[in-house]
Amino acid sequence: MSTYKALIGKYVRSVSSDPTAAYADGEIWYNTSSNTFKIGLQVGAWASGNNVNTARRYTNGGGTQTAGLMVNGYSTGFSADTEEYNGSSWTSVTNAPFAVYNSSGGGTQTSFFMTGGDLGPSVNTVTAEYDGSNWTTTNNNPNARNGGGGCGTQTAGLYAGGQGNTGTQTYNGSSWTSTGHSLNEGRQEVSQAMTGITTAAVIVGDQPSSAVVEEYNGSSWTSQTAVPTAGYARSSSGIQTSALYYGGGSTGFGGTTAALYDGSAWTNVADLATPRGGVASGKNTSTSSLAFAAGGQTPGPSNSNKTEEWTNAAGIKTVTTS
Amino acid sequence: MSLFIYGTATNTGKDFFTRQNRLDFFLESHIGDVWVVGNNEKGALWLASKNAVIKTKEEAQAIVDAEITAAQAAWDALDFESSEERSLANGSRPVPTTLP
Repeated sequence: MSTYKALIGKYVRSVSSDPTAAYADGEIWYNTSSNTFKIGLQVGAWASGNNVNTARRYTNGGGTQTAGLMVNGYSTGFSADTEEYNGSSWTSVTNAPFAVYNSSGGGTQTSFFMTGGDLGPSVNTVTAEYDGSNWTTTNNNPNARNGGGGCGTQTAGLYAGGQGNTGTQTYNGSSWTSTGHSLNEGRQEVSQAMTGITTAAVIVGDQPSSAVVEEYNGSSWTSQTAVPTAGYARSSSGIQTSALYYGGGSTGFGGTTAALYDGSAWTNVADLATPRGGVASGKNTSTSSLAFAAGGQTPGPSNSNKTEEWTNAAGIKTVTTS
Repeated sequence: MSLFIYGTATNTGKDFFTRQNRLDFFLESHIGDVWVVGNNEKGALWLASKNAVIKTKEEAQAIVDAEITAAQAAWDALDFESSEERSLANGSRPVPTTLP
């Protein structure tokens, strides 16, 4: 058996206290106080945040980890509840103009749009915008669907898939236009599974289960490297070249897996602590290094009120077998 | 030595578990407020700090099984003629979970 000295040319140093994480990237050492081997690396992990006020599934989100938005979903009925997150707590604010689940959209806490979703007997086609205080409705989206994916911004939004559909529409802050560009795979239950902008988006998953990934460049959809864990009801944050996908799964509400996409390849990263699907996420407006996951459906299946915050930063990891 | 320790504790929200906790030990929650934690010093200290009720693996699994059974019964009782109740079943019937 080889040794670290033989491979690297030096011994692992022993220290009584850990170095500062920011200066330890790529280092390995033995901590004589805790009698553990430790490594410094850029590493992401989920931490718990405070609970949302209304537990719900198939909800919709936007914004960032410190300025997040959560709206719609299914609690004890179709929900119009809107909540804002400041990185510490969730505050209930003005209700959305429609109570649905599986709506989708994009944008920030103060500039958000959404459309689609299930009203029960029909699909919601109303489009609504949020300015951080009030909701207003704009022109309907005649192609809105239940569980279609949404991302982009309030003035340059993208909407695709839903109910097994392949259609793609763009939103300019006032009205919708069908692009004529079809997804290669019809998709459903992807309301939080598309992230990016109108010229650089990525979409993942399909019910009952799919690992097929597609990218949109503003002109066409192309299939890309499959995501490591197939499923649906996944959530996403980031941009096309740095997208984080999490939750969901083959039963929609049982998944904890998370994976990072760099535009060509996937890397499995730390799992959510609470298995669930259909959680609100920041989509393109929340960088993949500062994603959040709020609410969702747990394996019960019951509604979750849990929040988790993803942070990718320099860290110190103890080498363990568990 | 078992790779994991088990307990029940209520997630109280912010910093119930931190990013550093997740780097220090395995951590996974399950239905019924069941937590599966890596069996190392920091994992054990975290579980103790949450006033968790320590369970054996079998006891923890029994809690999860009971919750899943109840959820399956609730799912089976849904009226699929009702669009609202049908939406509750969005996905599929709850399936058993085996703790690591």
